[in-house]
Amino acid sequence: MAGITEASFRALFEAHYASLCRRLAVLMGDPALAEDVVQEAFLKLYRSPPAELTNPGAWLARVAVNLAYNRLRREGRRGPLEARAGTQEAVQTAPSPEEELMVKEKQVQVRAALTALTALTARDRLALVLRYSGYSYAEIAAVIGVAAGSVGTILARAQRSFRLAYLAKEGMR
Amino acid sequence: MAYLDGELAADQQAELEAHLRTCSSCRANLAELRAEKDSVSRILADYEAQLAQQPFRSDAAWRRWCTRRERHGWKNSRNTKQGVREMFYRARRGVAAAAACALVAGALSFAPFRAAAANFLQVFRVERLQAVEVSRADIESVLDELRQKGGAASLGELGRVETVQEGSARKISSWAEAGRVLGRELPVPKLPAPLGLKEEYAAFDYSPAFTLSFTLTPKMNEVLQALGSKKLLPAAVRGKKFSRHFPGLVRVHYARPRQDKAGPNQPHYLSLAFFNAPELRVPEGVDVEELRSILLDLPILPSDLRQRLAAVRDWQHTLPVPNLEGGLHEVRIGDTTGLGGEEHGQVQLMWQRGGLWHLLNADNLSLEQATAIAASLE
Repeated sequence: MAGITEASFRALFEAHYASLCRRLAVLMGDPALAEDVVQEAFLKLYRSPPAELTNPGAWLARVAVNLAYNRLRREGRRGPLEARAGTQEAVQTAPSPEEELMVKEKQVQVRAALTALTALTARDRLALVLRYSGYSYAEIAAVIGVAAGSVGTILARAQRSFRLAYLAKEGMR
Repeated sequence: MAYLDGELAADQQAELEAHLRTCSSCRANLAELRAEKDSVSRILADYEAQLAQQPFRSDAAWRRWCTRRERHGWKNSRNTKQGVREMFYRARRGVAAAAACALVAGALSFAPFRAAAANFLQVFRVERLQAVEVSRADIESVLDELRQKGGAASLGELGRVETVQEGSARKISSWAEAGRVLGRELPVPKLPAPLGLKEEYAAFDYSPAFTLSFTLTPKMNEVLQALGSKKLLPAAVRGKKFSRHFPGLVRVHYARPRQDKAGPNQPHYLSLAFFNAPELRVPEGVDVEELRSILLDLPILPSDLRQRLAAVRDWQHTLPVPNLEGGLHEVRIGDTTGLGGEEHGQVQLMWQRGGLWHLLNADNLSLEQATAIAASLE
């Protein structure tokens, strides 16, 4: 790769890997899947670096999010989120009953959030999570392939569906 | 929603605020949206915090990534420039086994330097490519042999491998300049209109020539003996430098701009690279035929791999391309034969005509379509 040595590539990897994974994990609802996509983004950077790479972090984030979107779309709305929702057990390290209760509580909430995200289409899910992560309407529009003017409407609908699904799930226990 | 997110232009915002002062139902709607937004943000924040407990270890991930990079090989490359290098370099990278294979395969990759050009003497211009199947089992087997003979380290003492790049990469402005750089007129492809790749999408760049060289060390024969070779290299080749020279490469990259979305059967990009024939350069007075047979006889090579390597016809003029996953095969392009393959929705095609080498790659394109484009370059 022109201009990027193995050592500086490794440094880029160290600098961005974990934060990209966290962002993608929220998006995809699955840490393992997130890692997979982030690895793919680095492969892309390695194999087809852009002519001008002024902000590698931003470039990687954009590519990773696009990859995640493609994958979510490909796997359909009942994709990996739901398939793995049941396996998202948090680490059990809480010995006291109060702590245990709190952990349980958190798990229920996380699972409800996961289920609610899964109920959205890939497009709505992405718009919602990206907005929450601080993306502008223009950036969201570029990822999901709609006009920037439509993003507000999509978000309003997505957040409503999400909240209803979440409350329904959380209320069921 | 755009108002809440601060995404309205100043005039739109003022207009909306004026309206809100007079319209209670819109105020109520806005309040509800805001409450929902706050609630969703809280839920997502909890959710994120929970997921963030997952540790992402970048050191372990780096190792996985490196394995993956190796595994994918050049066929997945979206970047011709990188693809070529990777194809030629792959064997050199990393494992000693791959180095051993390359060594023998390229018998190869012996070569010289431009600076030392005065001493050369025998220059073999590459006229064709041949895919040489190399399986994972082959590599494992070579590795095992090397381990048993304690040879992984000593292999490095057989010869020194160096890469020298001449000049640096740069952008090029046009077909005309690209032609001047290579010293010949370049054929412009006819891209079928349904692909939606327009001539104005073309960007040009140049990547410099490089030379992969191999110098036999004084200890060469001790190494060969340690590896079980019964034959020894003639003293005359000691310290001699062999090289493969890869001339500078011009690339034309058609990349669809973001606003021009690709249809289901349309490529996002198509890349064409041109370069003059690579050369194998061998010092004077060296019997390459003999050298090759000695290397091919190395007992560390699995016998079927040896046969495949030995079967390379006209090997002085043939560049062996390690075909790790068997995805490459011969493709007829007009009156010439190239190598091509498809994998993961990407196609690669490489061929030679009149001493000019061509490399095409693209996504969302069949091998047939790629071949038709290749044929349009006649």
